[in-house]
Amino acid sequence: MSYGQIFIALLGWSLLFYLSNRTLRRTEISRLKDRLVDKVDGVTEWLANELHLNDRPPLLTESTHAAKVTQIELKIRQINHYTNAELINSDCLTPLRDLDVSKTDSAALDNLSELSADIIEHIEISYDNFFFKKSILARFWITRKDETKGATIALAFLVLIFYTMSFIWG
Amino acid sequence: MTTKTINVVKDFREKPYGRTPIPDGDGCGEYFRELHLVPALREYDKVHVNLNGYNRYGRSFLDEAFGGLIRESGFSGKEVKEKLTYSHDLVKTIEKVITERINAAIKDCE
Repeated sequence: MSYGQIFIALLGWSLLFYLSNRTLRRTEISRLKDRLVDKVDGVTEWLANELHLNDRPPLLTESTHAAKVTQIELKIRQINHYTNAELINSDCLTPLRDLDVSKTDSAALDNLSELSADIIEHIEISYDNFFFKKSILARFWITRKDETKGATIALAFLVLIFYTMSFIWG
Repeated sequence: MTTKTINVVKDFREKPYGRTPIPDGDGCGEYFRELHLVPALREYDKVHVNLNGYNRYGRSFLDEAFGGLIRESGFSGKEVKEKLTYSHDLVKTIEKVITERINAAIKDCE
């Protein structure tokens, strides 16, 4: 086998590995995103039920609500770490966390539905924008910014050393 | 310039909870404000509140502790914004809610 053939084989395997890895990561991120949407839906449904029943002390409801919102925020952090970019901005949860659960009127319940829809929309649009609206290069730069900068600086440093040595040894 | 850092979990309660001592107990926002925040803001030029260590702060606690600085303890919005900072490394929306509560208190007092 010639070097050229070995090189082409290696290139082929690398491309296959990259495509397979990319597909697996995207599938996993999509799954995590869907679970996140279910959690958001779940917490707003639970809260609407609590507000409607109105038989629990408001502070207990507030405490459970805070815990559930924190769980969602931690899930967003996990997705962002997995993607290696800020795929979803957790600021979208601020209105949900800031909700006054002591208010149980119908306006509050309507507000809750609106809030849930806004958050889910933000998650879906962020996912959509990142994976389907950005080019491969843009996505690569966003997810591998630090590694690219590090590699470029290292390469520049090696080139500098090479030329310095060449100059010294004439 | 003197600075004071207050760690809520270490200096006050492991699980702060509620608005007022009755019926919410000793870990309430009012106690945190009166026992820690207000004295620190009166004595130091800058006060930083570290909220790490607990991730489930309720809106009532945050509203009473921070919004109450303006509504109950007589601080102006300008004073609070200049002197007070706060952080939570893991759950950033807690910081946002504190900002919202302070702004709401400023609006209520206008």
